[in-house]
Amino acid sequence: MTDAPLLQVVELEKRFPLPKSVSEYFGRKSGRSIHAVDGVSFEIRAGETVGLIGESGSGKTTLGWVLARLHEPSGGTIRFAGADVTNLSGDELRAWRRNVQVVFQDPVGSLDPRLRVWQIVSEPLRAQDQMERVRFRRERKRVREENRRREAANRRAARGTPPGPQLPLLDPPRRSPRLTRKALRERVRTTLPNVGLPPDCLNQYPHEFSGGGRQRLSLARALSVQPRLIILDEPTSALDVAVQAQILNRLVELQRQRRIAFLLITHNVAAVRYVADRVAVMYLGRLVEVGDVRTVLERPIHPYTKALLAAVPEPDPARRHTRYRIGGDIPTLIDPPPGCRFAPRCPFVIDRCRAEYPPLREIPGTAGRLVSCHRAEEVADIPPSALLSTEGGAAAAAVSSPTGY
Amino acid sequence: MGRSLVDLLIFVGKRLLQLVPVLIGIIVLAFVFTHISVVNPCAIWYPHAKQTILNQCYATFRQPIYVQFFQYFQGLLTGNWGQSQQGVLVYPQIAMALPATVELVLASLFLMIFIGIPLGVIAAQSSGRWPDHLVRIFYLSGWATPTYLGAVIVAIFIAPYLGLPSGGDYSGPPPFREWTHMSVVDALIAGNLPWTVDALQHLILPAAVLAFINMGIATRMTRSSMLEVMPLDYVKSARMKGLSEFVVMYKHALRNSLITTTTVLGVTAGGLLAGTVVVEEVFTWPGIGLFAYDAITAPNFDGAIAVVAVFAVGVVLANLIADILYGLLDPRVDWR
Repeated sequence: MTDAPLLQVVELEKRFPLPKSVSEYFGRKSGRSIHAVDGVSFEIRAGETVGLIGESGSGKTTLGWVLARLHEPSGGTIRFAGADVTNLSGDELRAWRRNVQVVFQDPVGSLDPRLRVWQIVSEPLRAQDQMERVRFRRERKRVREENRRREAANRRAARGTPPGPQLPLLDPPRRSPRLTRKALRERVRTTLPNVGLPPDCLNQYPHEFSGGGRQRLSLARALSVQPRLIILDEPTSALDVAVQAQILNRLVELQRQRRIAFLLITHNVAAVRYVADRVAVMYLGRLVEVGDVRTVLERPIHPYTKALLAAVPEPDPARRHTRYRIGGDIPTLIDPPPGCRFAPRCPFVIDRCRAEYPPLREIPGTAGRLVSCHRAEEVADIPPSALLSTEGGAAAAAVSSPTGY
Repeated sequence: MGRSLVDLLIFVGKRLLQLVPVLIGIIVLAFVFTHISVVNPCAIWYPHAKQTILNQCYATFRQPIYVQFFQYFQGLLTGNWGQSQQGVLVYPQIAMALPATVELVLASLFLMIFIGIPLGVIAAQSSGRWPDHLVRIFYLSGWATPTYLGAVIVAIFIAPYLGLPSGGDYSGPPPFREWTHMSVVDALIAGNLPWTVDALQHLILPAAVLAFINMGIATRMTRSSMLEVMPLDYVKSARMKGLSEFVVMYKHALRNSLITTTTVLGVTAGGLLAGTVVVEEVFTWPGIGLFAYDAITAPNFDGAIAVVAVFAVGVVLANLIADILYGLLDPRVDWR
């Protein structure tokens, strides 16, 4: 665990400005926005899987998209392998994209219905090949100009008395062979078995596949450029349980072979428990708890993590009538108030929570666990099940399930 | 999956067979309407003729209408499309006029596709901002322009300003044989470049007027279906592949939103075939619109019926082509 972080995010923000209301055109204060991601800092090391969990609307997907540079960040920095990629644009951004790929949630919407399998999987390769040629031309131009300059300098030096030293000429760059259609198809044919698809489906269309097949296809597309980080945006939530397990197994296997880092965005706690090394819990645009997956899920410290875990249904008849007790209103993401985001719903809330935002801090004696709670030490030992009540009926009115199930 | 060539041929064959009852129905309707709408055609045809000639004329119309229809239909099946009262045969006239109209319609379709669709893309990309508003103003003003007004303004004011001819298809009788009666195509077949340029100069203004007036539908459909497609994940994933924004927009987003646009353009093209009357009249384009106008006002029954039938075939064929294109564009469509 001493590797330098592959991806490092510092104070990342994403705000979506709200459309102006009529009164704002007449001078009322304007510029209100939704703070979807609000000061998130964390890192992903090479080859590890980080699970990002949180309820619907907590900003998980937005965070993933900002990391993949599908949304422009409104603030903060993203560093990838040491380089700042927050403000990459144009060709540089396009070239950088080979490092990070995304697998989207919706297996139907994320594949172009008009392309065949081999086209879908090989298009990232073709795009990167094209970028390669752009780089080649730029490099060749640079070398030629430099050589011309050096030749001129050499001629001047040769004429001088006494003759000056001669500069060596640079080697012209070598052009990589253009990827032919045949080569691309061959590459795809050999890639498909890696994700568990038959190699002879090259000419099929996405609609001829089942949901699981399409998600495998998305995975094959993401893998084709051999990225170092894949952002999996709820990759299994549209699939049935058996297929989910197959896909997750495939992910674990691929990671072992290729040392790809995964960011697994999901609300499926079981999936995170199964594949992730570390887990980050997100609530209303902020991270509330980050740590090793076993310790976080077995001994959650932040009250929200406890609530989230308590709400996971368990097939235990003894718990049939227990109700999840966290009530209260979810604060709005439009210009949120200061203080802890979870304060309005937290059973352990004190006045300080409403006034002052608790920064993510390492809790002593927990091996690198980061928690954003003023009372972390006091509430650490309260088990999640303590947040459940067995009152039934009457309490049901106050129930609000936070996980979006 | 029924997507082989055989399936496509069966599909086209079925649709062509469906054309037969449609065509018979259209001819019956056109026959009935022409024959009941003019009270006394003989009086119009022979205003100052002697009673004997009038009596000959009345003799044909005194027969029961179904007998008259069967006589007409018999002629149609044996290749005799009838003639005008002055004895000019209908078929050769249509054979000369229809290609000219088809040429005009294709030229305006070309403009609608290569100007109207990119405008739709631009509008969708900048949805809600000023380029979007400009595009909307442009296509709405086209849509709101009455054909006669637009055509007249272009013919009278814009044509001299641009130094372009405002009538006819050539500047004079061309020195080559007109094989297809499409002015540009004929000049190209003859390999005569100056006359090709001349034909294009005559074609551009009427085609532009038609395109300007009908472009709105293509732009609007493209804009709205682009807006539908652009937030989809596969557009995002195309961007993630490292493709340029142009490729993302025109290859992934546009190709998927063209499906609706194609259908609408097919219907529009069929309608245009019959809708060029005013433009052809203003620009004296020797097309079927002009012929239809003359046939109806003469009145030339045989000519009017034939023109209506030809228009009907045009509409059905344009829809058929749109359906085929739809299937080619969308691999999920089954031919069966």
